[in-house]
Amino acid sequence: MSAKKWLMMLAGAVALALAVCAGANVLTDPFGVFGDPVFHWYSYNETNNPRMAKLAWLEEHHGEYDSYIIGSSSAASLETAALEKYVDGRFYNLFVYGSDTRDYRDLAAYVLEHYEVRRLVVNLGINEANVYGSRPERINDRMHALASGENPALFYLRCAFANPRYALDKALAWGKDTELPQTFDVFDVSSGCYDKRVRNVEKVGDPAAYAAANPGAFYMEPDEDALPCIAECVRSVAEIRDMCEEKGAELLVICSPVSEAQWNLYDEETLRAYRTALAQEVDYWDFGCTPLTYDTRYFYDATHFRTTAGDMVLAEIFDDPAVYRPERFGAYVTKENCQAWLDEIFSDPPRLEESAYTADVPILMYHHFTDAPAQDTEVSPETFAAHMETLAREGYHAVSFQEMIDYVYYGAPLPDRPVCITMDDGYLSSYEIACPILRQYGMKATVFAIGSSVGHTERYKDTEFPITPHFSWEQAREMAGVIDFQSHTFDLHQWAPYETGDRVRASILPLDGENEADWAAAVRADLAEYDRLRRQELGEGFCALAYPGGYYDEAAEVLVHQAGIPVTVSIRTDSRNVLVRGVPQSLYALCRWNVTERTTAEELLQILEP
Amino acid sequence: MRWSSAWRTSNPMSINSAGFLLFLALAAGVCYLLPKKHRWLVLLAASAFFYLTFSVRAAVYLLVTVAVTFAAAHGMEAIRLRERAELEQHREEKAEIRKRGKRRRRLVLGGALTVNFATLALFKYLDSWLGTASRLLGLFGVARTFQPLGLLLPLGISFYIFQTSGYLIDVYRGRVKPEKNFLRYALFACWFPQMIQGPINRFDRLQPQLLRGNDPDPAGIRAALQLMIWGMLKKAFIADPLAGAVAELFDNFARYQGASLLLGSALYCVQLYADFSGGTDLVRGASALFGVEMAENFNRPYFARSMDEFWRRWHMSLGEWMKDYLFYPLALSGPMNRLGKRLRARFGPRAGKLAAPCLSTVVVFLMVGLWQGPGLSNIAYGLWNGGLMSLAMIFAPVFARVNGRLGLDEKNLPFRVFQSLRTCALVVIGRYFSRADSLMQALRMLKRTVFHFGWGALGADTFLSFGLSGSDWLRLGVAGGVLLGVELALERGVPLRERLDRRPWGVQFLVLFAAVLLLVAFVYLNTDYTAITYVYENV
Repeated sequence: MSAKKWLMMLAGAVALALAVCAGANVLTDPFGVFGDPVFHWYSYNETNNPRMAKLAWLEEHHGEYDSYIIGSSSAASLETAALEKYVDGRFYNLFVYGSDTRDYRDLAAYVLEHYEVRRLVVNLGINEANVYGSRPERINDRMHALASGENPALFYLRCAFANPRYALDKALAWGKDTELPQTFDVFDVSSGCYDKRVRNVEKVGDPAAYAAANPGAFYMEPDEDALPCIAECVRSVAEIRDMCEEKGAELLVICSPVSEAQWNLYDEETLRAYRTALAQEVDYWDFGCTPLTYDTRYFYDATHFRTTAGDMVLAEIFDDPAVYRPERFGAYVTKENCQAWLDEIFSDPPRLEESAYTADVPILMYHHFTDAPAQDTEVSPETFAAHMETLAREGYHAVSFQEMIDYVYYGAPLPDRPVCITMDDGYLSSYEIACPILRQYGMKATVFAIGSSVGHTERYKDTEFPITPHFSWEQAREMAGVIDFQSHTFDLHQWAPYETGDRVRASILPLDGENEADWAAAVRADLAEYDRLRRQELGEGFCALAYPGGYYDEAAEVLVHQAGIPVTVSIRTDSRNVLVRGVPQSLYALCRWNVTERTTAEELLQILEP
Repeated sequence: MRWSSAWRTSNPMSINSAGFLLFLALAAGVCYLLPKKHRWLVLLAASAFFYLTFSVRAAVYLLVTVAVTFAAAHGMEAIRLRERAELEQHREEKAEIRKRGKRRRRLVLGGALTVNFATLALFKYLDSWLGTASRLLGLFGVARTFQPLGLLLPLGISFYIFQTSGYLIDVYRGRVKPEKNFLRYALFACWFPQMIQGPINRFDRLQPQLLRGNDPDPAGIRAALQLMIWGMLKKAFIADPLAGAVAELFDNFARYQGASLLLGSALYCVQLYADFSGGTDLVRGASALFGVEMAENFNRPYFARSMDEFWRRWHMSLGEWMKDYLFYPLALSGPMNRLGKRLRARFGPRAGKLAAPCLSTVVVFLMVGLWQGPGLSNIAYGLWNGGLMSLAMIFAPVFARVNGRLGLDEKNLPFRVFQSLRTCALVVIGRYFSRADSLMQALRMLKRTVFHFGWGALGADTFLSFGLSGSDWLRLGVAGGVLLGVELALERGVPLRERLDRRPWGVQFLVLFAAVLLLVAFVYLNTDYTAITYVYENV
């Protein structure tokens, strides 16, 4: 081949290689700007670049929405469903990472100009005054040309000739996609919020355990440049205000909860300057410094408040008495009251005593009561009575799970020295032995009954195998007021030697090799069956689940809480059960301490007050 | 440290970037559009632009070196002309005039070389020496510390210092006529492709090519582009992926068993070859785009059957420089002659004959070691190589006798393979010294290798323990396999390029397309890929 021909061939090879890379980018469309023709995987695209993918999604779906939330990733905790509870409208959360209010202004301008917009919620944290008009190099952080005004041809060329790794990564991730969100697909497409199903099952409660599980999450590097972009931030908000007025859209500005780590990063003068400048332009709700600020458990990390804190914010704004909020939780700030409000929070920071919003509730675990205890799951009536006598004498008050729920969700009080007594499996001995003793000492307990075993006194389900007798629903009704009945699943605590099939569900976890969808369906069906049975027999569904064998994982937690069950209990003993008002996660995977025949009164008290 | 994988090129003109390709295309385009006699000016302008994108301050240092050596060469020429004139006038004092002229020229040469190498030493060694001096004073109880100056090594300083020094010696010897035009001389000293990591070019070979105003030659451009593609593939798919693992094994050697450390040194040999030869291919290709052929640097060194041969096939331009400007002057010098005679008188003719080459070899490799850095480990590296080669010279008759008795000769393939493997093993051991940060580290690593070899450490888990995943190994295996296959074929004289050229165009296109696609997708469009600084970019 002649050299000239070879050079032409090289030019062809380069052109073809570029075309292949561009083709891969267009077909896989990792940023969602080409319509994602193959995967239709918008959650992935938004995770890669929310600025591009969300606008691309809205171009096709803006007719489904009439209101938008604008902000940075902390605004993800303002859930559209919560907002829609209070105002008539269909919200889309158009938050993007980065806290750059130039992006907010550009996005607001675009949606106001091109879509029907009734309401706009702008969420501001502290970082918004830190950065303005940054020009990101990474394609993941670049704005869609629709909002940035970039030359569209250049924009699409840039996306087509982006790093082919994005295309490859998306194709590879496709094979790993699961029902639950993973690091590569964290968005809920229709609402624009984060899909926090997994994030929100994180166990929160014991402060030591929470700190250990999130090392470094609440540390912030000292910031030398004390909020250099206050003026730009406020100007952007003012521009959004003007645009909203022009288009007849309602504007709600929220200064969202700020963690102590971030609040303390700046001096009072700087924070006052920020808030004062803002108040000169718009009225806003200020939740920056509230009692939540001083407890990390209301935050995922130093710069992100929890969804539950977002719910409190919305409940305060829309005055919803059904949602717990602490005293001195935020204020509506105007030009007129701004200084008074700032004086108040800076002269007397709204810090609460921990005992005002948290409660330590140890949970004891029993199983079977018998005159001749032979295992650690068996306790004699005398010992049980001695334990109850000790609790009563020491001033402990037994509480139910419903009381714990009311404490966390609605701020209802708990008695002094609360303790929760539980009994697993639903044995007849709970009815015959434990119930009278509990009555005698003015205590109460919760039985986690296995739905399929209720009323079986002789045989394991429909087999010939003998079992320890279980009480019946009739007996359960008789025990009402003393013993509450919660779930140990309907039939996910199977005993392998007595089962006939080869797929024995001994716990809530998936069977070996079981696919995610089948497993989730089986768990949901089981939970629904127990709930149906309980409603049928006792008139109400259940609110607490004890994991059979104590086995559970993150996915199981997601499934159970998604099913609307607010409390789960394990058999772990590695942290204290600290209930936190307003933090539903403080009711998740609660620890329980097994009490045996050998447990003395002193040991019992040691469990309760380590 | 200079080896840190974290030290990455960020310059837009990094020779692995698309920016560099664009620069090349523009420079070549402008060059070929201009009349022949002006083309060298484009090469000079391109070189100046290229160098200035790295550092303006370094460009000043470069300019000083160019000016000093230019002036020195002219000084020597002026002395030579005066000597000639004097000779014509005073024929009877011929010897005296010659002697005086030589002395004067030597003085000028010595002065210029001193300036040159003092500049090099200032940048390369001064901080290290200041540190050593502080420590030594500390040993004697003197609490005097010298603050390091923290001078950044100007790009290509080792290469242009050696190249201009070679030119001066050639002028001194009368091998070349000094360049009269300063700008033309500056082009020789600053020709941009040689600035990253050489090769060290000779004036008489490079200068005519730079000045003759080459016409575009499709065959030459094809060969140049092929060389560049091959060089980039070696760099991006072998050298850079290995760098992290090698750094981990050397930086945290105490965590690993001896077997892993040996593997680390072997991997470093592969990395260094792919890095250095890949970079050399790239810059030689870039130079050839302008019709300028630079010196060869590699000739499949890992097939060498002795250390002597290895050094004739590895970093050849440095080897030749050392041979011409250090080894021979040293070996043929008066003191060496006298030493040879003394040893001959005392230990016999063989000792007398071997003294000069052995001693000169050791000195040359000491210099090679020092050229890489000021540390004791570099000196040890030089001694290791020089010592081995001297021993080979001394024991050559013994080896020949043993080989003869065993019936082993060069026609015996297994023996040749054994010799190559033995050479590789010696190179791998030597690399402990050149890659380690200090002599102590190298010695500790060698100790671990010998006394804590740990055969059990050679399991699959070990291979995944220093930052390379299974898929990384797979990719490296494929890339390394291709490299080995190509080198093996070329070593056996298979004309691969010609053979490929005879294949149907579809096959040729597929091969070319595969290479180009790899580079486009994983290098030029890959914003995550930043080429790791060439190992010899900072010597």
